[in-house]
Amino acid sequence: MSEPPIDLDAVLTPLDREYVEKSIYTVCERLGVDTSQWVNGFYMHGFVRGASIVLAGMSQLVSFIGRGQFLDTASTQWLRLKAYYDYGVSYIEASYAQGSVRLENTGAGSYTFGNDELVVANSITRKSYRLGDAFTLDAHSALTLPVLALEAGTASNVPPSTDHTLWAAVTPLSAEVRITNPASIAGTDDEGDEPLRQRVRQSIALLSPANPHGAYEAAVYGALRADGTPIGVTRAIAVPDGYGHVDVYVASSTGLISDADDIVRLNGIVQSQVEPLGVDAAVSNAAAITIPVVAEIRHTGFLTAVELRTKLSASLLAFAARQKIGGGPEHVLYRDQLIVALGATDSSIYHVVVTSPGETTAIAPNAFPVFTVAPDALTVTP
Amino acid sequence: VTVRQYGRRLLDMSPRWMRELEAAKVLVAIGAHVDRMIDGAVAAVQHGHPGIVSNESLGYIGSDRLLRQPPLESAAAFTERLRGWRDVHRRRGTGRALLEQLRVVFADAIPETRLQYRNGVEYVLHTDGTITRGASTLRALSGPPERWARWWLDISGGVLANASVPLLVLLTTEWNAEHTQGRVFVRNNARRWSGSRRWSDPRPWASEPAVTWEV
Repeated sequence: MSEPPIDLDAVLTPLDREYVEKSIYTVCERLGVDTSQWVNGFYMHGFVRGASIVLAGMSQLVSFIGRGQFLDTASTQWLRLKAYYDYGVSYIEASYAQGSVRLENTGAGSYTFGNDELVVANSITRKSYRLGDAFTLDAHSALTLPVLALEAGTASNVPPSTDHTLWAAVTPLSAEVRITNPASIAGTDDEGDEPLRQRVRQSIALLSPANPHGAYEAAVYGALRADGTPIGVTRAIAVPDGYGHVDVYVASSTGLISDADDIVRLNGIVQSQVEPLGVDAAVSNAAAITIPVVAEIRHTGFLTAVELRTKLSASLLAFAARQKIGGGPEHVLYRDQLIVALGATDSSIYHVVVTSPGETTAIAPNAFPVFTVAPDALTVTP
Repeated sequence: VTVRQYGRRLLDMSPRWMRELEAAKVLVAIGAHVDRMIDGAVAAVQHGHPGIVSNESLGYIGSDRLLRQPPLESAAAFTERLRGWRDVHRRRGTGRALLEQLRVVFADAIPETRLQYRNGVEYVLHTDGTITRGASTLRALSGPPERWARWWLDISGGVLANASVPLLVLLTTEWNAEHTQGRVFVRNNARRWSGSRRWSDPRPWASEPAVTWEV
C-alpha cells in the first residue's frame, strides 16, 4: 500500500531539532526500545541528539526546496533561480555608485595619476572611490573626474556637497589638493525579493505579441541603461486613447525619472519590444501632484519628537513610493490610507488626525502624489 | 540510492556493534526519518507542478502563472489550464482569449456574450461554449471611425451572479490589450457598478444594463 503524499504544509514548514529528536524517541518506543531506561549521559542520547541536529538541517533544506517552487514563498537565491530558469527574468544586482569629484589644486605642485591609481574616501559614507581616468592636475588648476565606488550598493551614495573636509585621498596626495563632489554619486542596491516577484509576473505579459495588459509595464520595469545600471522605473501605467495611441507614464520610487536620456531609452525599449503594428506608444514622465500634509500625531512619548518626526518622514516617503500612477481604479487618494500609513509608523502612536489632504484627492490618470510637510505642519503630541 | 532506500542502507553502512539489539532499532528509527526527509524533498518538487501529488498547491501555482480558479471550476479543470498556461498567455490581448476566460468563469452557466469592435467585427460566446467570429452592425456606428481601438463586451444575454462581477472586472482588465479601450455591460440585478468611467463615452444604448465598467 502506498503512503499518502506528504502534504504541502509539511513540506513548507521546517522541523526544529527538538521536534525531530522527540519523533526519533517515539519511533524507538514503537520498535520496542525502552528509552526511559537510558540514564543521563548514555551515549545513545548523544547519538540521537546528533542525528536530530542533522535531520533538522535536512528538513530546513526540504523547506527551502518546497518554498523555492513558488514565487510567493521563494526568497533570495531560490527566488532568483526560479525567476531566471522558469521565466527568464534576471534579478538586478547592486550597482557601484558613480558620479564625479572635483579636484582643486591650491598649490604649486603638479600631480599625475594613471587609470585607477587615485583612490579617495568619504568621511560620511566611510567608503572608498576610485578615479578611473588618467590625469595630470597642474598647479593652481581644477579638474572634474569620474569616480566609481569600490563597493556596490547605496551605502556608497554621496549627496552633492562642496565641503572639501568630507573627502581625503587614500593614495598619497598633497593636502593642497581639495576634493569635493558638487554632483551626487549614486548607485543602487540588489533588487529586493518583492520587486523581483513583481517583475516576474509582469514578464508573463511579454509572452503575447498581442500587446496585452501589463506589457508596457513589463518592458519598462527593470529597464537598464546602456552601461547596465538600472533606470529605476518602479511605477508605470499605459493609457490608450482609442485612436491607436498609447501614453506610457513612468515614475521611480522617489518621483520623476530625472535624466532625459533615460526617457529616450525607455521609449526605445517600448517601441522595439512591445509596440504593435499600427500603434503609436510613447513614454513620458508622469506628473507629480504635490499634496501638503497637515497632521497631528499623538503618541505615548516613548520616542522623542525628533525621533518620531524622522520615522514619520520615512513612513511618508515609503507611502508615496507605493502610490500608483493614476491613483488606482477610482483615480483617488483616500485620506484614510494616509492615516493608516502614519499610524503604522511606530507602536507608540495611538491617534492620528489628518486635516490635509481632504477626505479624497483626485489623481489624474497620468499623475502620482508627492507629499510635502511644512516645518510646523506635523504636530507631535506626547 | 533511490527514494526510501537510504534509511534501510543505514544498517549496512554501520559498524557491526550497531547492527545488534537496541542500537539497530535506533538506527532504524533514524533511517525512517532520513527516508522521510528524502520523501519530503521529492514531494517539495512535485508540489511545484500542478496535479502530481495533490491539489493543495494549485493556488500558489495559479498565482505564479497569473491564472485564477473561479468558484465553479473543478480542480482537475484548473490543473489542465495551469499546465497549458504559456499557450494561454501567448494569446492574451486577443478577443478569443478574452472570451475563453469568460467561458471558464461562467462554467456551465454561460449567458450569450458578444464582443464587438468598432470596425464591426463581432465574436460571440454561445451558451454551448462555442465561440464564433462574424460581423455586427450593432455598434459599428458608435463613435468616430478613427477611434478604432475600442471594444464592447455585452454579457446582458443572461443574469449574472453578483459574486462573479469582481472576477469579471479583473479578467476583462487583465485580458485586455493595452492599446484598446473596452466597455463591459452586464445585467445581474445588482447595484450599479461604481467603477470609473474612463473613456468619457456618451451612452450608446437607451436602456443600459445594470452593471457597466470600462477597462
